[in-house]
Amino acid sequence: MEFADFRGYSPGDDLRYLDWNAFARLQRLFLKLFLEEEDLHVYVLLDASRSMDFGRPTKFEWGVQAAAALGYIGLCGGDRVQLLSHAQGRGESSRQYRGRGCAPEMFDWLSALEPDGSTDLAAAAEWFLRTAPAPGIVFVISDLLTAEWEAAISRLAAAKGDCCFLQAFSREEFQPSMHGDLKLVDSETEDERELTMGASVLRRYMTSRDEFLGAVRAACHRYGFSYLFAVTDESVEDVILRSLRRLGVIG
Amino acid sequence: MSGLELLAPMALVALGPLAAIIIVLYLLKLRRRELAVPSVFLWRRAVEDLQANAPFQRLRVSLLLLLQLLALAALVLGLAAPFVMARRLPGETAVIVLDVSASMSATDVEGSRLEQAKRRARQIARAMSRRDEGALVACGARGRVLVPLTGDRRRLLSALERLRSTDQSGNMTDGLLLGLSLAAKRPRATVYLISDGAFAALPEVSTSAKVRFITVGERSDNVALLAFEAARPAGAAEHQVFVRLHNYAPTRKQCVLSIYHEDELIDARRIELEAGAGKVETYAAAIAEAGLLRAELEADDDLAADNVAYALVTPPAARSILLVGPGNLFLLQALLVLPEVEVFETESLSEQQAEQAYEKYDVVIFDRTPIPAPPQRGAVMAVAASGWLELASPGEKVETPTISRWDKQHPALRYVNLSAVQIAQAYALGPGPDAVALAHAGGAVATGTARSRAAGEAPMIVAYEQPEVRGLALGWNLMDSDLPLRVGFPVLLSNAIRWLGEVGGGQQVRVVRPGETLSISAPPEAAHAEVLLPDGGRRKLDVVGGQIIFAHADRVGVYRMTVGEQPRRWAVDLRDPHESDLAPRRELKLGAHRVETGVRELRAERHFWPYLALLALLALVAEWHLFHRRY
Repeated sequence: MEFADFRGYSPGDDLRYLDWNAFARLQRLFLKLFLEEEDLHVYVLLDASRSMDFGRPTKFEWGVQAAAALGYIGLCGGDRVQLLSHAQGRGESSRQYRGRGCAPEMFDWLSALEPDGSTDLAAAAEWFLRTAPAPGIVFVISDLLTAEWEAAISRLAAAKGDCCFLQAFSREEFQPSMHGDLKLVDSETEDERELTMGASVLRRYMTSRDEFLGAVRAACHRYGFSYLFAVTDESVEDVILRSLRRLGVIG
Repeated sequence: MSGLELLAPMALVALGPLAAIIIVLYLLKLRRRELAVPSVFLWRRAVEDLQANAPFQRLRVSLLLLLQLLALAALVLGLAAPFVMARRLPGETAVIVLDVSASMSATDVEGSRLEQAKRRARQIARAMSRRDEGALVACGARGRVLVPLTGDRRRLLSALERLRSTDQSGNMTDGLLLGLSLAAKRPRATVYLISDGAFAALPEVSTSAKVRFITVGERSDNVALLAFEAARPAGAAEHQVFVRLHNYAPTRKQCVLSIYHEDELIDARRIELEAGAGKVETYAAAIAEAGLLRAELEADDDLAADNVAYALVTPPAARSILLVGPGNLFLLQALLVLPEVEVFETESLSEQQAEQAYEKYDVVIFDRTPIPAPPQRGAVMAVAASGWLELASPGEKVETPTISRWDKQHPALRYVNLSAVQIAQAYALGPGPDAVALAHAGGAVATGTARSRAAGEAPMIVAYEQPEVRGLALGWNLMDSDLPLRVGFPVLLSNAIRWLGEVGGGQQVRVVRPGETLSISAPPEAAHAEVLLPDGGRRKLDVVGGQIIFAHADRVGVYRMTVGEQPRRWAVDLRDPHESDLAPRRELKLGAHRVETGVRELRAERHFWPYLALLALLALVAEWHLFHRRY
């Protein structure tokens, strides 16, 4: 408990918090206000599906770095930090870390992660809601390349606490440079798409991409979540220290 | 333009298999590179409408395939070399020389040969492209440029439209040379001779232009009058009429020959002519008066112009002649042999005697004696005699002149050859203002003062002709030349006396060939003359320098002219075996060199493969562009 401020007394206030010393000096009743300090829970939910294993660096590597950075910031702030990774049918979570000394353990846990399986963010959100011990701030790091991205966002709205989405694309996804007659194979579902890359197709892709990113941003804002988009060739420091600070997510 | 033809139609066979290959390749499609991507989630949305799974669905939507097939079709069709036979000139300059001579009026083809020739000429003119040039030369007795080289087809066509036939004898050499001179210095020039070939042989010409002969006419079905003369033998009461006919048809022909004196029928007879044979008919006719005889042939043939001929019945020749001079045996003897002529002699005449003599005698001849007074009416012949300035004034002396040219058409000099006449010395005559020089000495050495005569020609014979007066002057003494010893002398004298004796003899009649230019002397007061043409038309003429020039005697028939008080007329007939022989010539030679013939060259193959190749290229470019736009 830490003193914070005074305010005038109003009838019904707890008499235990009256500042009698001030009343003796000033003949007026003041109520002492205290700020109760509470442990903040920081959760970092990392998408470990195969779709994250693309790009240079891969989205997963970038996500691991971002998770490490966020966790470390949490540890430094004295928060309880818990890391979770999820792919279809597979969820892993670390223990809750507290204190800077836990950082090496946290990093080790992160290094052991491998991307595998397909994205199932809605399931991940439900799993998180079930397993999270206390409300806190949730960072979701994912490419959100799944049809259920909107369901995932809406599920997380049920979590008590704040939520921040970090959507990461590789440069190739953001601006494809491939050309020629191609058969695109989905890394997760092995779904195929034949196409011949040309200006027209590229234009359509760009339009589709922008529409998608716009829709995700709009959904996040709708639920009051912070949203940040990053391309993995941007440095993690820039994104975490500048962009998140600008958003007011970190102090 | 005829229909489309293919030079290599077998190439089209390749179209089916090649098209099939393209379609199969399209269906099989090329092998695509597999590329793993994180997710096709975004791609699915991007390529949704480009995906087509069913092959026929692909075919239906593929504009690319259609363009490929179009390119293939264009290339294969191009290989088949389609072409049309187009009316196209092979050269860029086309000079059309069109025969308008009498034979072109033959009606053995639709319209006439001229109409057929005009149709051919129109084909050539219409086939001209914008960059081509064309010219039109009409050729009758002379070549005439109707349209000089022009790129304007309409000018050529309208000139062709206006072109009318004539009854002239064709002088194709003239037309050809005119056409070649137009075509000279033009690259890729062609001279088209469009004719039935009824003309004399053409000379060898050296030219860079190509000459092509386009023949018209189909057959030779013609009977012609080739000669017609009437003469009265000395002492005879009747005229002898001589007619020569020829059948140019390959079959036996029957016709009726009628002879008219003026418009009065004096004889008619039925004549049979063997195929390709000629015939001579003679008549004896008692014709009292001078006038015009007309022979008319009633025959069922293709050419009318040679079915009429004219001949003159001359008025009685001079009957009394006065020879004034010191005596000339040659002259006297030559005069005495002339039929029905009385010759009187005297040494000299006074002015008064001369005037009486002009009235009394038909012709007065002054031989080496001055003419005391010019005649007011009558006829005078002056042999080395001066004193009548209207006829001639004596000029400088000329040593050993040779007569280089003379007017062979003039009645006084007809059938006379003066080229070999030896003359020791003569006086160059100065013709009076209304007189004309008939014979010139060339290369003469003038010993007089007028050494500067540029042409080096001296008039040797001069004629003067007025309605009431005629005169003829010889510039040398007959005794100083060998003329009296020559065969031509009695002919010259006979001609001269006849011509001089015709003075004031009523109507003036001449028989000429079509296209001949007539020079007629007019009375001094006359300024205009009017000619009544055989077809009833009229033509006004101006008198220039006392002369009327008439150059439009293009048609067979009688032309009448009234100038002053004197009616004059002349008759025009054809009498040309070249024109009457209607057998169309199928080939033509210039000298020994054969000329290419025919209309075939007028038609050129117009190929379309360059356009098809261009179409294929465009289709491929469009396909390429579309391919890169779509994907």
